[in-house]
Amino acid sequence: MLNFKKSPPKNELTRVLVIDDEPSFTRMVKVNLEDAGSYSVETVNESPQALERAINFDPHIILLDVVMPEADGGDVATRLRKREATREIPIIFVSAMVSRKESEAGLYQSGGEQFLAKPVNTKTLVTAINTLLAKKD
Amino acid sequence: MVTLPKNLQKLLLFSPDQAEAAWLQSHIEEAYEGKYQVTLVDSLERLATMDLESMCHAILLDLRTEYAEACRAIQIIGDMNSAVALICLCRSHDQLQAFNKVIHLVDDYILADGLESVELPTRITHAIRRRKKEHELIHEQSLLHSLLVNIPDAIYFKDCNSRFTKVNEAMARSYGQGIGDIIGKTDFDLFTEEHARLASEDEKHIVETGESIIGKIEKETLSNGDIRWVSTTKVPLRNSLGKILGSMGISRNITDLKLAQDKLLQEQALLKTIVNHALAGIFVKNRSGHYLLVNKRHSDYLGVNSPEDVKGKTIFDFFTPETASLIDTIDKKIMDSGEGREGIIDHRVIEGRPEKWLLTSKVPLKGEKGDCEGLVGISIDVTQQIEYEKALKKAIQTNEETKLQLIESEKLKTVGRMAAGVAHEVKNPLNVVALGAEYLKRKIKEPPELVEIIDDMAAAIDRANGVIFELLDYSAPHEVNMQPTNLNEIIKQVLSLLRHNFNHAKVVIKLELDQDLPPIAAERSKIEQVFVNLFLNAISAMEKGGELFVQSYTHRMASTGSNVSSQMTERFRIGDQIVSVEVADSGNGIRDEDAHKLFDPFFSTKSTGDGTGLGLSVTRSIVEMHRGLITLENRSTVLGALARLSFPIIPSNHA
Repeated sequence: MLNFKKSPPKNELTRVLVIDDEPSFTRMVKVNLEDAGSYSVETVNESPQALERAINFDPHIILLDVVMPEADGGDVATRLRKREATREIPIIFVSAMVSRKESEAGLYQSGGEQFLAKPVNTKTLVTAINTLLAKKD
Repeated sequence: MVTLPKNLQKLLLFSPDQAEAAWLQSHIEEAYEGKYQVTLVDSLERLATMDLESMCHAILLDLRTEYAEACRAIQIIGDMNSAVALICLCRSHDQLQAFNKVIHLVDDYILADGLESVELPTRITHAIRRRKKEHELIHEQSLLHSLLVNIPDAIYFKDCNSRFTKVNEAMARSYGQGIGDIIGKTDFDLFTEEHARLASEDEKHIVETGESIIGKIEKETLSNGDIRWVSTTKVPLRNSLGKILGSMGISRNITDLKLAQDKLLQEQALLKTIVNHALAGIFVKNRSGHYLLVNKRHSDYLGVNSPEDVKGKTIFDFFTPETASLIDTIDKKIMDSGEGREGIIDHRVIEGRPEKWLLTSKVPLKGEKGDCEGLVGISIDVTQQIEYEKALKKAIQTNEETKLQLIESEKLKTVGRMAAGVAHEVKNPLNVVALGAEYLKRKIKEPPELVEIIDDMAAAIDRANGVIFELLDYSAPHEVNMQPTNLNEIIKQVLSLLRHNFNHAKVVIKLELDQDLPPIAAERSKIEQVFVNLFLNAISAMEKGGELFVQSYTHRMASTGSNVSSQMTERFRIGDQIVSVEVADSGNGIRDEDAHKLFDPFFSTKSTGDGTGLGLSVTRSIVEMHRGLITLENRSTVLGALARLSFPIIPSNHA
């Protein structure tokens, strides 16, 4: 089992780091989540910068694309889990490489990782994030 | 011979002295009244031309005058060699001496002094009788002689010690000897000792018992080693008192016949060997279809153990009337037409025996006059070959199917790879638009036009998502989990699922489902998809409402008639049990130019945005995955399209 970070205090915004090579996608996730209320969202579009941003931003949760041009989602996750500072941040992979059937189940696990299928909507994202953060309590 | 009144004897009288002749005539007729009729002959020339036997019994020739003429007369009469007796009248015994040269031709004589003697009639009668006997004897001798000389068979007479006493020319000739060389010899001088001993034993038996040997076939081995075959008849030779004097026999050389017969027997034996050991069934039938001959192998083909159980029977004794009639009809045709037939294939099913395939050739059996007397047939067991052929055909078919599947699967893979690539590329931007629209929808509550536009955008995005997932489904690997499935249930379920669509489109549903429909092996969800696609297509074809007909039924693949499509014959075999479902709409039907591309991926008659064009392609893939067949055509009697699905039923041993 993953050893989750502490969930944010009730008056604190949940920090979400979105890593995806598509700027318009990260931007849309950001505006929708922040509009939903209790989220503070940072975005990364170039995967090599992901680790640095994660250390600086110290997110409660990371949304990670799988297919990216430089370092793919798998590489990024490996690097995050190697560093003490980022090791315990839960990661949700958000991928287009997932079938309809799998996506219908919402958040699902495969090989020890958490997945969401694209296309995602705000409700799905919020549910997934809250579900995962609630688990550590 | 003339027929005379009782005891009347006709005499011809010739005398150089006419007066004497007249006197003699009247004297004889008067002296022995009623006993003789005497006719005078006035010249030798006339006598020479007469048919003596028809005119008289005896000739009285007066030798008393004209010696030379009398001699001539005797000679002429003697040369005629007739049965008429020649009686001469002479003056004395001495006078008779003068006729020494011809006296052997004279049967009797009468002295002129004795003309009035009572002896006269006796002497005439005796002379006539003697002459007649002698004539008969000569005749018989000549017959016997003629027989002995002319007959080609060897004839011989032997004494009691088996010595030849008389043989004919043919006998002597056949042994390369003269007649004189053989007389007095025995078989031991002519043949090998073995043969001679047997022959002499036979003859000894004949002499002792008087029994005959008739038509005995003997092998003769000559001293020089030549062999010949003879048919011999030997009988006892008896004298007039019945005492056995020896034996006589007649032998016919039958060497050629015997050799021909031996050859025939040899050929018969050869034929029998061939017939009995041939690796084929051989049979001969007469004109009425009765078996005259069959070999062991053919009696096996007929289901009986011995050829003897077949002889005299007909095909009807071995098979059902239907089968027998078929064979009999072919036989009759061959015998009527006189033309043989090759390569007749029979399937023989006999209870208790392995089923067989026979390849038979039949030829008419012609008699001496060329007319057909029956037929000869040869059957070869080709069961093994047929089995091989079947296996080969099956292998070829499997190969073809595999090839088609490979092609189809390659096509799918290509489309799939492309679709997956496109889908992934489109998913991301689409997600951006979707999230954007979502955001705007939350932020913008008016004016209503803007809200409406954002709603339209959201709906369009949903549709686009739907297309993408359909594409991905199409290319996803097909794994089927087959279960016995009743198509009627699926049809009803899908119709229920789509009831709102039907209601909305004002389409009336007419069902005609076979209540006893057997199950097919199917994956329920896949088949559901097939009917969803077909029903949605039907609804789109009936924009202004209409009727949907759904019918299910079972049938057996009967034959390859004109009403059976070539696709059916490729997919199913004759005798297969098939479940079919027909889905017919009352739309405008299929356009000719579209008919050949209905199942092509991405072909659609719907306006852009209404469909991917993958529905029927996916439908067909699913149907074929279930070893079924789907055809699409226009309805024959009314306007509209007809989709027909056919699936093999689960064989009963698997149900």
